[in-house]
Amino acid sequence: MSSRNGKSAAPDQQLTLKDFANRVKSSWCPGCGDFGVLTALKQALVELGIAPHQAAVISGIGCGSKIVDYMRVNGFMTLHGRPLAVATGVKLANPDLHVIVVNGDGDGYGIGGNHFLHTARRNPDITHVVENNQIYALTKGQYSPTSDRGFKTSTSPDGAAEFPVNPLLIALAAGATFVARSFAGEPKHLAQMIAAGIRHRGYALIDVLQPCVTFNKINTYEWYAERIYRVDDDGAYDPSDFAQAWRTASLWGERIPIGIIFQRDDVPPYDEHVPALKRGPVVHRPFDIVDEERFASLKRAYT
Amino acid sequence: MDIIRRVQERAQGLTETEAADLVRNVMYSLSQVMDRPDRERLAKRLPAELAQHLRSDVEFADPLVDEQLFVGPVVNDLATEGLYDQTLGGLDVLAVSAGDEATRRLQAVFAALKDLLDEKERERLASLLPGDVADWYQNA
Repeated sequence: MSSRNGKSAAPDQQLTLKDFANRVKSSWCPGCGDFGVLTALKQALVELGIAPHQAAVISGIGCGSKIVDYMRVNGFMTLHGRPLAVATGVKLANPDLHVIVVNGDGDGYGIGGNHFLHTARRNPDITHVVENNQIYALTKGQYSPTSDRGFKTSTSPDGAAEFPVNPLLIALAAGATFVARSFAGEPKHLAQMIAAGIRHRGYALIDVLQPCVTFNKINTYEWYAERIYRVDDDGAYDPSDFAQAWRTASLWGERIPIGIIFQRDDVPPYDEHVPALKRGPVVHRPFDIVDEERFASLKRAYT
Repeated sequence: MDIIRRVQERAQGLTETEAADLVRNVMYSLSQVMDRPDRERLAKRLPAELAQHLRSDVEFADPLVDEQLFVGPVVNDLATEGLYDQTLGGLDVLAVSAGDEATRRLQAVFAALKDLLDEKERERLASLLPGDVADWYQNA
């Protein structure tokens, strides 16, 4: 079993990427940025010594949410926009699991926006990887909450009228304790960010800039590569400085920062506040403590 | 640029702009899988207008870049929305063949690149390429 600081006891054998591979053939488009996220997630788990049975990947609906089909790990594909709620429940029930939510910008910042806002505020010990390709791809190319203004799609033939959301600023405003961004085209950096998020005790957002090679011909690999810069290349960047993080997270357009934008380690995760869990994790409690008559009564009431 | 013309001849059907974009994307992908010394070594053997597309700001190769991420920039530039076809499960006729088309174009660039390198450098470059990319290169 793993300890709650995100690291596991050393396995008998060194984990490799192959330990997380299964036989399911991916239906992602060739060149999709999701491949970078999949590889980086596996690499992060390998580096942290987290075995497949010690992790749970919870996803929503979308191209990127199919990631749970393509990994050998505990996986749960939930309803559109709802993985954060399910993930919070999973973590509360079994705090020994490393819980990672993976969903897209539509699932995470659109229909899942309310969950996003309040999960950041609640601070459960889960890692949230958002595959932000600035489009709804599974449904063949509609503009999303993070699409840039003027982006033309089938549902925005005259160009998107709205300005995009800035998920980093939303997370910071909601009180998120770990906010980072990376790029699917640089999976080594992404793996480092995911690993840092898993190590963090509390909610960790990793917004992943990710090309949709089929439906988004604007925000391409080249477009992102020309604009991203690493905040830690600047030796003066301090991720614990909220004001600096806010200014940095506000940047978009010609210069887009990636790296750990903000982190604070002084906020206990949500599960430490739940009185019912003071008796120990739910998953470790013997089931036979339930009064059979009361159990039957509850079944009658709720079925 | 001579290499643009060579790529157009091999790939066929590409405009000069498309060929130039293709070359630029392939050089970007190559720079992702090469350490700085390897990039500098390769750059010395290429015309300046080609070598400039090898990234200079990264010290080490990204070991996690596989054939999918390598071909990604090329697929990104393909036309992938044209005719939705229900016989393909509602998929686009162009998108369905995007992977094969990207490989074909990639090989056109590889072939032109190999023309500029001696045997030793060709083998050296082949050893740096991930997964299926090495096979595409060898068969180019």
